[in-house]
Amino acid sequence: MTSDEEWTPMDRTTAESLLRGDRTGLPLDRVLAAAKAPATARELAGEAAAVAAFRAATASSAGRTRRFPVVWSALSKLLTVKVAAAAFATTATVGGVALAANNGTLPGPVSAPAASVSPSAAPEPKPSPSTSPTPSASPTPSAPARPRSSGSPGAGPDRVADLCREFTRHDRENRRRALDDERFRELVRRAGEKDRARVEGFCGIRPSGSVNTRPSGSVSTRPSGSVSTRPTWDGDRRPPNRPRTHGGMGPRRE
Amino acid sequence: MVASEDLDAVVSAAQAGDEEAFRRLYRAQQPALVRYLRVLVSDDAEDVASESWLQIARDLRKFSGDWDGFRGWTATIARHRAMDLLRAQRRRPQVGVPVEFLAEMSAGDDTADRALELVTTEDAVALIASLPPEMAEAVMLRVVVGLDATSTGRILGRRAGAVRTAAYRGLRQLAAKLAQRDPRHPPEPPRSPSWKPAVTTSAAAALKEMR
Repeated sequence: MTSDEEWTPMDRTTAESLLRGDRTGLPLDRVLAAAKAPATARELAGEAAAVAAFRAATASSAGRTRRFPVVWSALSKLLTVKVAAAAFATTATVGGVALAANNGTLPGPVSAPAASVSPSAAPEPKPSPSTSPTPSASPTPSAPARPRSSGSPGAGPDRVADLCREFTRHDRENRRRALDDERFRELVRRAGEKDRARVEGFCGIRPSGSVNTRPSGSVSTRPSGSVSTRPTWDGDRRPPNRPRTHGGMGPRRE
Repeated sequence: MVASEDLDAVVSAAQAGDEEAFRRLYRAQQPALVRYLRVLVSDDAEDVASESWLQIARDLRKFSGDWDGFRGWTATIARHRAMDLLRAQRRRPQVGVPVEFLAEMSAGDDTADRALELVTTEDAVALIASLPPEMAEAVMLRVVVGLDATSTGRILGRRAGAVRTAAYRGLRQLAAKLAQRDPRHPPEPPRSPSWKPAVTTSAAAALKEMR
């Protein structure tokens, strides 16, 4: 194509070709090709959180019939330290969510993260007392209704995992006090009640006094060989996610 | 790129609870969503995409359709979440630039320059995002999300014809931006009746549809 033709105003046929992704010889080819180039790692950074939500949704809907072989084969591939650590963080979060959902205590199971971060249009009359004020509570345009734009992590699974981690670091007495702390309000909301045991349960902490090998602060200090450490979850009350009873493909421990 | 028949099966598998299938859907669709969201909410695109995926994960079982349908469905969710954010922040879409912005493109605006030289994904999306919103959305949904005019129209609440026109005009403006920035080529000449008949006809039809 000569440059004269190239800069003739494009006709509809050319436009349709561009939209379909055909090469037209126009410089626009390169721009459009770049716009739909394969994913970058950064773009996929939210995969763990998305999968965590999927897992929780699946666990809460499928209940005890859930099979988990896929998780095991995936985990066995994830043995680099970093990935395993990330995977664990994910698991920890979902564990909490799944448990709470199973107990029927989670206000709006799994949907909670979405609902809490966005003043959604869904028919949800109760104002969400989460990290963000509801839109009606902040009529001033100068104060963004949500902290997101200022770089706040929001209240997604990762945020909840962080809160759990922090909560777990407190000892029993301090945990009770921590519940009054504004910082943990989101956690309390997720757990459904301002109750130490309830929040502990939500975060996957064993009731104190029971025999449990899990170290406190486990979420952050846990070693990272994911497959070998993962079975600790079996000691927890996580009925919907017990893989060994159904899956049959993972390393059996019982 | 994975064939769409394959992904039809992946959608079904994910709906049946297959986590690996869900991962594949995420990897296949997330880039398109986050790039589309970039033209709507700019820097908040990643956050809004994350929220969208929470909802997608939650509602996937209720969804019925194939891979094409999934793409449209997820784009709809992403758009709703973006609109929620914009409402909450009481701002217009980031790309709310007046139509006459082309004339005002200052020398300091090097988006088109960079797009020509590097053509990174980021630059390309930024360039598209500099279009007026309805054009930017139409171009992104059609080119990047890969939807047809009808599906795009459903998402945008417009007729397929209007979507075609918006996408077409968007592409024209993009081409003009590039021409303007590329010294090797003269800027697009003004419309004149001396075009080849075929071009004239379709351009006239386009004009008509634009009104």
